[in-house]
Amino acid sequence: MKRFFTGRTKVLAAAATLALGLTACGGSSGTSGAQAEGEKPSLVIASWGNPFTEATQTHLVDPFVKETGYDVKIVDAPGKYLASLESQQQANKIEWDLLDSTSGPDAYLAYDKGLIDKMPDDVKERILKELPESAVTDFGITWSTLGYIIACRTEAVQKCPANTKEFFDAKAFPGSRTSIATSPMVNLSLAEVAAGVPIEDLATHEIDLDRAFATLESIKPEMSTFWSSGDQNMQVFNTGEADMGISYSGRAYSVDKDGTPMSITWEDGLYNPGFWNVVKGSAHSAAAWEFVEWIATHPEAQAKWGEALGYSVPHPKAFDFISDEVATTLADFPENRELLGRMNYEWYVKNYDEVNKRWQEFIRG
Amino acid sequence: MTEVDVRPQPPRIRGRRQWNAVLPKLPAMLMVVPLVVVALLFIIYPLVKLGIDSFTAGEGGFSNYAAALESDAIRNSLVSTLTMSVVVTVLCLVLGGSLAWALTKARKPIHKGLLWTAVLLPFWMGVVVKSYAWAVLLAKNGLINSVLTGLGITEEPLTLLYTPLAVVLGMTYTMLPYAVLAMYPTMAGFDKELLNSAAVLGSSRTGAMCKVWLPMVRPGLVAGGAIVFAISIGFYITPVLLGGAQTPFMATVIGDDIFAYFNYPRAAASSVILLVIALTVLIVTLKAVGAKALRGGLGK
Repeated sequence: MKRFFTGRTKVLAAAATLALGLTACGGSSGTSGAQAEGEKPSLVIASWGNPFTEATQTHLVDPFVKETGYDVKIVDAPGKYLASLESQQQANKIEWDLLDSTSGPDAYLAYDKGLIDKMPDDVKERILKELPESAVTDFGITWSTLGYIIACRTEAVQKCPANTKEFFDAKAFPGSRTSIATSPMVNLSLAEVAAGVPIEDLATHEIDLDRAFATLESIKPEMSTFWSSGDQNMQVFNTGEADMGISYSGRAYSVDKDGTPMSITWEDGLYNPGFWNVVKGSAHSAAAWEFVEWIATHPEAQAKWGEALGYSVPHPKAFDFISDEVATTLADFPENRELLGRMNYEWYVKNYDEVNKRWQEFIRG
Repeated sequence: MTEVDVRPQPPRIRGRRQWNAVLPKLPAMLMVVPLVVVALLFIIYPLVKLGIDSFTAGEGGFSNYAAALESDAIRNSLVSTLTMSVVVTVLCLVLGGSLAWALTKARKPIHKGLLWTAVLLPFWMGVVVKSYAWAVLLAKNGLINSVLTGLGITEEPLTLLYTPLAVVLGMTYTMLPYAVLAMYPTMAGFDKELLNSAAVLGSSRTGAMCKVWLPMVRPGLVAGGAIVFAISIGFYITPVLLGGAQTPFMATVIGDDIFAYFNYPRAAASSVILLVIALTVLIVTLKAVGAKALRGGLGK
């Protein structure tokens, strides 16, 4: 199953600040859920297909339906959220209400393009009582977070890079490399870290595109392939195409579990939250936000979901319910999280065209 | 009182007109209408819309085409798509031509059966399955590399997967049946006695093949080549799975523009460019060898 998240956030911090401001200035209005009386709201969730759909159904939807009696349906639309939402909006026929685990950059872009809804102030106020500020944005709560980390096949090379700088040093750490094709921001951000930008400054750092691309060019000869889906992410390690590379954290642990010994380092990695979002123009947006709020306030359900999939969830208390074995592989596990940097999403949304054009030319040039 | 005729009567024929296999005009046209409507709605309309969009979406005019052709990524992809497709076409003609000729010569049913199975096998597998089969063979720790390093022919495993070579192999494998089917009718229609005649008249074997056989099967070769080429330039899944993100291919770039970068206007222009190339190749071929040879390749 795939997922490609890339994500990040500086904007999270900004959004959280804004959120504080908003709540301070006027936590408005009564309860949500102004549905026509006697009529059960029906919600449609877009998800990623199994195992995602199954985990969301079993651990989130089923208990929610039991409690509320709402009618909730999940449709599979892996990797197609934005393109589908755009065409639904163009056709003026909104078919979905909620998005499960939208990838970080997609969520920011979708909000920028007016495809997803702003979180109502009252909902936000209540959610902030449960979740840390960094897990709540104007347009949703973080969900199914993962890390971009450096994974390395211990059998393939003499020594594995212990941080990003070493990963970009092909002389001292020889071996074929791989990285993600679909997220220029991940590659550019890590290149900047290799060029000396402190990982903790990344969230506000404006990428120097010329320098970042020069750094990437310097290891391009070692880049045996760029992966563009989670399956491929695992495949390039399993089949030996790459000795080391930037990988989704969950996938790297899976490769290790499947029998290819991997060294996985969180040092200088990137924190990549996905999101729960409500679709703009949804006919049941109040009920949809009710569902988001339900998820935000049920750490045990989050824990079961996270344990089932190996992706991280936002509630700090959720970790009380997750086994240590799984917890240490998650991006929100405190010891992992403190090593991870965040990408500057505000900058990305502003420089989207330029970044993507140059990235496309870099990768296919 | 009327008398009832009790003798056997000939069966009564209702209606005057005799049943006729050739339909009258009106019913015939009515029966074709649904097909025409479907074709207009699902083929012609989207194509026309795509063409119009490529000129009106975004900034309009030729700006989308300019944007597409100014992009290094798209130019590289176009060049490599055309190059790889030409290589695939040549390989398909050589391999497919030999296979098609062998098929016309095979006498024993078992030989014929095996040959046809080999030709049609790729048809029976999904493109993803075919591509993964190649990925398994070409991987660093795959069969080919294991044999090469095992025999000491190479020390280090070669990088085969995620290269243009892998894409060409995968595409050739997929397109081979089309090539064989396109060339088979012309080759089957070739009268082999002509080769004997050539020999009797003093021609060498090679000479007979070049001077007699080749000119006569040429329409089939040209038609087969055109079809293979036109289909090849539109490949999507094979380049993605075997070439990886770094092997440029037009359909991949168009897909990226639509799904990853939301640049629909440029994607429309790139698609039209591909479409025009494919149509030009087919039309030129049609003029050169006629509709009959071309139809052979489309399974008619």
